[in-house]
Amino acid sequence: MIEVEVRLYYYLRRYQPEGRGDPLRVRLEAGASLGRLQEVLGLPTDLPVVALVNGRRGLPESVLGDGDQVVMFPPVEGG
Amino acid sequence: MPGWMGKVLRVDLGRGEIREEALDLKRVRDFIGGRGLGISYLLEELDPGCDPLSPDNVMVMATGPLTGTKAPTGARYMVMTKSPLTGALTCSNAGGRFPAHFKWTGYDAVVFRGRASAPVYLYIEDGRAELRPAGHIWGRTTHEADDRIRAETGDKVKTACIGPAGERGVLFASIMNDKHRAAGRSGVGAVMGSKNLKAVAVRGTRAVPLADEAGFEEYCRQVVDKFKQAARKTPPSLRVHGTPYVVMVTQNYGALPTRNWRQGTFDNWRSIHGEELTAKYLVRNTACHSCPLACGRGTKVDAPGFEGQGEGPEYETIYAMGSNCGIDNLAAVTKANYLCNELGLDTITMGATLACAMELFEVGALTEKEVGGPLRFGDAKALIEMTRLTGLNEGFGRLLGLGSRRLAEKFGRPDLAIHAKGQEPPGYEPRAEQGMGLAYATSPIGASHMRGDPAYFELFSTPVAMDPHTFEDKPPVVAKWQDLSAIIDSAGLCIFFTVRNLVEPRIMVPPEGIRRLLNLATGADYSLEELERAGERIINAERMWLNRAGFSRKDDRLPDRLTRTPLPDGPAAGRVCHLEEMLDLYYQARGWTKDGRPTQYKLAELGLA
Repeated sequence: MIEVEVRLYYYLRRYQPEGRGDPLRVRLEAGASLGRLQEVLGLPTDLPVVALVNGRRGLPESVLGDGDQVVMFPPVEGG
Repeated sequence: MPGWMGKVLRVDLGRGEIREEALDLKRVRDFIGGRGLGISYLLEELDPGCDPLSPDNVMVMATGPLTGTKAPTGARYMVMTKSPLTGALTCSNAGGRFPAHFKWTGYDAVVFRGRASAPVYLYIEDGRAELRPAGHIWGRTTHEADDRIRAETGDKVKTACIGPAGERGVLFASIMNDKHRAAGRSGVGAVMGSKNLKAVAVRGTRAVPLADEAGFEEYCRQVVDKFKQAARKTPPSLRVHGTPYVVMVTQNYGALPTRNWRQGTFDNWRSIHGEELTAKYLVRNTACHSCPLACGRGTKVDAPGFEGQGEGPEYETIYAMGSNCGIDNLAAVTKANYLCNELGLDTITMGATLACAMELFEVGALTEKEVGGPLRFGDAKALIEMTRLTGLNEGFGRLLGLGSRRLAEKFGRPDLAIHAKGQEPPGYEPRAEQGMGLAYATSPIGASHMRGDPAYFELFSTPVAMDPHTFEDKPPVVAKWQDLSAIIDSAGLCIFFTVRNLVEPRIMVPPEGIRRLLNLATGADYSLEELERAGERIINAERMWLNRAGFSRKDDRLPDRLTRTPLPDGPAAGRVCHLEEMLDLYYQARGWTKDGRPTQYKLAELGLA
């Protein structure tokens, strides 16, 4: 098993399980992908998400490692 | 002339003369309008060697064909002139209500030259224009001037004014319209001040004629309905938290410039984040003309010492005055933003110049003797006081008002000024976001994110994503986005809505929605290729003017801190910006020489030779 730290922002916080801390600690089977994490969190596959793994953009097939820090937010505009 | 009012005002301030001329239809088809129209005049009429604060400088205020229509975000105008900060061009762009009302007076643009012998303002109402004395509002803040002009002329009047900063020649003075909207960058307010022109006040009631009115309205409705439907399910962060939401984004990529660009992350970022602004200070959202997004932040601060009410801050202000000055006090940043709006200052250059001064102080190049007291990173009270002094051009503010390049040169540490062509960057770290570095270096106005914004594809994933750390693949993409920005700026639209709703969601961003709007409004019948070519023509016309003014590859550069010193922290730690490698590929993609000049072949192809 691995454990990753997850921070959800903006309306993705809807998928934050109640009573669980921020960052959220999620345990996954070894070799689990970012897509698997999204599935565990219940994020709909058609919801556009920007996911960063340790500050680098991750893809659904990106394999996660123990202790990885994952940040997820919706695509944004502005600046 | 559908999409256009068909007339341009020529104001010779030295002679006190105003005349009107017909808008040239070929010119607007070739250059779209707005920014393109501006450079088309400047290329013919502005001496690239002139002193920007002399009567010889020419200043164009131009609307686009979609300004003042029901096109979503058709709210914008452009101020183009020679910048006193950089010696390059300005493309300072603002929304609000003034630009639409300006166009409804019956004029598409106004070209100013000369210098009035005493302060004046230009008053335009439905097809007539006159210069009026402004001695009684000279020295007043932008808000006082706006109130006074409207008290004299009527509540329906909209103004664009300069404040004390523009009058006193602060090199990064802004022009404020509708009190809170800024044509902020590159010192356009100082040019206006040098002409003794305090304000432009407009009252317009004429509708913009449209080539296919029913078709135009139907298409606008379709686009807005689609946007609203999506917004119900996934509300745009711009509406809920405004641009300050970007603090979270840049922090997480390690691209949030901190303490004069020495770090890419800021420990206390949460205290200056958009969510904090929404929770503590947001009173209401504000919207520009015909904008379904309403990203404006109407705010009020009660924190002791920082009390005030107004609009802002935007993300760029928060980076410049917050993380980049090591300041985690959002009340202070908001208050300093209000001061900038009232005194008429660009918030980015103000904050970035102060950050440079703080580092100069830290290394001992500046002392309490010059500053009048300590000037340390993190000092929120100094932010307020220095902003006030700069806006009034008093005390140490007289040196801050020169911008970071001149300040750092004066105190013997030019390496501590972070700029491109003399203009301070917005809040995106090029070592963490390579394409942005190329955009800063090649923008016609010096460092800017608004003349082709790689943050969209490098950080925001809108409309599609590219890895921020790659650089070999960025040059043609940056060039394409610069062309897109020229189209958006020239049409009179705002990038915020346009990039998600009016382009095809592909990396080379076909501007299909803009094309449809332009054709329905003007009847120009642009093909996609013709419209993209017009964007490229505008960029090349600007480059021609810059080349004539002496700018070339030697000026398309970034400071060593960004290209040679590895970023010490965050996810991009260890990286530098690979500008030189990107430049060769960029010039190649543009059809420019290795020295950064359009070839005769390219100019002929674009009809510019």
